[in-house]
Amino acid sequence: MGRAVFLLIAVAFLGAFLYLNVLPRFSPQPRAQPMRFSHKAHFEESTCEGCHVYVMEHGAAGTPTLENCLDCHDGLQSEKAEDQKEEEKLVVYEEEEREIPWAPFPRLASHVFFSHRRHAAVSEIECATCHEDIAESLTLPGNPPYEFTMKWCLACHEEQEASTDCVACHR
Amino acid sequence: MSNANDERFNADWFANVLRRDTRLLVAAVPLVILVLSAGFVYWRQFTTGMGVTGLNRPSYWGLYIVNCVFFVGVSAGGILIASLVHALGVKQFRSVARIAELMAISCVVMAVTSLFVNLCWPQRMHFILLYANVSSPILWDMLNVSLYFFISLAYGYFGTRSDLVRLMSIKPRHAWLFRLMALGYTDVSPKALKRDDIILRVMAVAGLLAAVGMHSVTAWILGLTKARPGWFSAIMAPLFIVSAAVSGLALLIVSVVLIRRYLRVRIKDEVIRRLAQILTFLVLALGYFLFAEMLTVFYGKEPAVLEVFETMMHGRYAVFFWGHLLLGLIFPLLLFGVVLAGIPRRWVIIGGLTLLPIVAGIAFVFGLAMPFAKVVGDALPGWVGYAAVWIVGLALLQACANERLGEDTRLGIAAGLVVLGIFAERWNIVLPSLMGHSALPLPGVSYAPSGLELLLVAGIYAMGALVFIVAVYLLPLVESEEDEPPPPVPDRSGIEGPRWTTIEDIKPPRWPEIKPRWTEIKGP
Amino acid sequence: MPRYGMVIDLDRCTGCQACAVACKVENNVPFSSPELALEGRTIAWMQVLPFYEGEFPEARTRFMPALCNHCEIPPCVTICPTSATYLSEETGIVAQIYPRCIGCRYCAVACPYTVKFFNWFKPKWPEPMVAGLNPDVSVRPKSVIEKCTFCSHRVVKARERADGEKRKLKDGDYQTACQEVCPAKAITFGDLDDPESRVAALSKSPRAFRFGEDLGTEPKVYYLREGEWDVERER
Repeated sequence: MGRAVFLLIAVAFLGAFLYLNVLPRFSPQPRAQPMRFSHKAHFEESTCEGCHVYVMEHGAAGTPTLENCLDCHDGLQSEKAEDQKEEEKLVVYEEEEREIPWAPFPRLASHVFFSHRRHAAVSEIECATCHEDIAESLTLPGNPPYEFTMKWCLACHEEQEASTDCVACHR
Repeated sequence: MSNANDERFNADWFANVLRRDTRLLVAAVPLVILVLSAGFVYWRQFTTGMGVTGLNRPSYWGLYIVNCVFFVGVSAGGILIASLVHALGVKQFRSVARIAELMAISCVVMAVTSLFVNLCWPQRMHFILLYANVSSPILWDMLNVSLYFFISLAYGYFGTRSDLVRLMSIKPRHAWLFRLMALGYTDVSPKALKRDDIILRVMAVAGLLAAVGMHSVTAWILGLTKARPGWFSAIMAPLFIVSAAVSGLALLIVSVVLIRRYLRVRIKDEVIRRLAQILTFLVLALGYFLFAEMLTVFYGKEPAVLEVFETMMHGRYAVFFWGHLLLGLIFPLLLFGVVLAGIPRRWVIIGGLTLLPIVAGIAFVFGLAMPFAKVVGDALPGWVGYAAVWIVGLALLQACANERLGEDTRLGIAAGLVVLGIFAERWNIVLPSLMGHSALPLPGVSYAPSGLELLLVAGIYAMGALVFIVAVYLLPLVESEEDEPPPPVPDRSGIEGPRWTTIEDIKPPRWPEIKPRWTEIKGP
Repeated sequence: MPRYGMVIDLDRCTGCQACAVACKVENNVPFSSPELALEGRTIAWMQVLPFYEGEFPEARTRFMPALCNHCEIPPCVTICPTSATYLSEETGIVAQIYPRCIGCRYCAVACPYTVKFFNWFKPKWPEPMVAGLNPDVSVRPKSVIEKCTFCSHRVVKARERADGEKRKLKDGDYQTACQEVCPAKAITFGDLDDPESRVAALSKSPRAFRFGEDLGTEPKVYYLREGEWDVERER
């Protein structure tokens, strides 16, 4: 009898823990992206900096605006029909004078401060070091493609003898 | 009178267990409501922020911490008494050991809850262990309090389980409940009882150490803070330990008196008297510690510390200081003296009135200022005030020492005053250091608990009381003693010959009530 | 490793409060209100405190900008149960990590200078001000302690700039907001260990003193005593 109650309490605790801590991590639904964007195709033609234009100058790398896209895309250039269908969306945005509604992921918590310039321009770190093989992807991800943990950041910082001071990233 | 009391309280060992008592139920209803509303208040505080309390910039800590420190002390004091029985074998207090344990457990629950509501991020509480900072007294306090909590629970369990097993056969309908509480334990063979005794002895020593450790660490949370004059003192931990023993013992006396009055349990008058005697000495020790502290402060005249003590003695909460001194220390001491020594009331009044001119004279000669000048103004000379305080005290003593109240009630009143006094003392330790001194010329902001804060604290009290009530309903309040079993009621109907004489039937020679010596020399 | 410190020349301080305002704006410190001030719940990392001396005709007021002293032996760091507040080895800054803070307020109690502030409520700004919040500094949640950080986000930026230009950080690269705005140049900031720096020179001035030095906390904020006034009157 006593054991049963203990078990019950343990199960209740476990349940509460799962519900509060684990479940939310699995629950977010994939976010709808405005179009099927192939990083791979673009990376063959251009560089990361070509579309994420602020990556060398600012903290945030920035997502391409319609104007950035239209610098290269002039009418329909794709060869395959399905690609053309996607490309057509750009034309529509242009006609409607609307920005592309990308669904970016707020990857870092609000108290973590990261500078792309610091890493990409000053320290000359390859994009792929953190962004893995996003350049090979054929579609835009609906969920965050990778998770950055503090442990992961610190491992590299220690290896590169960069600052491991808390205030370097947390303010 | 004392004999009559003893007979009234010679109830069955297990009389209180599962007894349907409407009074307990009636008491529980408002308590549950209080706890629920406190839960609501906590939710409010959690979602809106600590701003719902009265805390502010210099007084970052307030009633919650005072409360925590107070209950940690009471709890430690409770374990102290219980361990007297089990570790040192003071058999005399065996009948109150379990009440002391229960009190210790419910008080540590209140202490932990008070500490918990003072914390703003319960979801980050594990950080204390995860990112432990070994130099932080809070880490050690948390470890020590949890250790103490589990030890006191285990202590309570090992001390109760043999009684629970006995209850299984006495109340077979609810055997499952007692089996559950005994965690499936059923062994009451003499060997097992002996083993339990040894376990209890070990647990008692462990509990005692944990209690002293816990309360010392709690004292060091304050006492190691050099930023706060008044706290930063080596006397903090010893003072806390003495205060703990005083408050624990005093609250134990109050609860024993109440329980005896309303629940009929086997506790003798003698036990209360002995407890009160110990308490008297402890209160004297507390007075000595306080005197040592005050002397150092006022002799040293260090400005910052002096500022703190000025705030304590003449500030907004001066009534806490004077209340503690007059009603929490001196008055109970006198009352204990009168009751324990059996001095008749007319001698009290004669002695008091004889001393009155001396008190007023001292005040006059030293030109003491009017006491409580903020309340009564200072139109009259100081000695009038002192004489008035003396007369009021005397009248109170007259009222409280009334023999018709019964010895236990009178001791209970004195002990209750001591408990309130210790609460005031805790307030005086925690808050004046925060409010009274600042290195910066901050605008003088004082602290007053907000309504919601008070409600939350009331809810915490109610929770402790509920724990106690549930325990009163479920557990035998007095440890049954195998070596002195309740006398069996002999079946006399079928027995011929000489009537059975039980021990109960033999009336002990009724000694005349102990009369004070002076009545004998009154003459014809 | 640099050891940043500050020197405040009380002789130059006019009590204009520019530093207090600049600090609030730079660090996203929420506004106060008369009601909050009466309750003692104002947050002000940098405060210009008046010290009143003497009785009326002889009365005078001194001003003292009070901020976190960034002690070398900080009592708040010793007692923090979660190490949410810590002494940065790289900069000597005593910093507060908000997501680590459990809101026990022990550090605020243990600070002899009462310069740790608690967020009693969720911080609020008037609508037009929200757009003006500094993106380099987080907006604190309710129920955490916050304190002066010597504008630590600026040291990160200064280092980034210096590294980008492939040079070492030099004196004056890293300035705090209060120093920048002080019209009387009363506030000097820099590396105390750098013998070339202005702050190191000033901190050795015979006028220099530190607040509550007898507590043994070794503050890194130095004040320069007012001189001339008193001397003239004493003659």
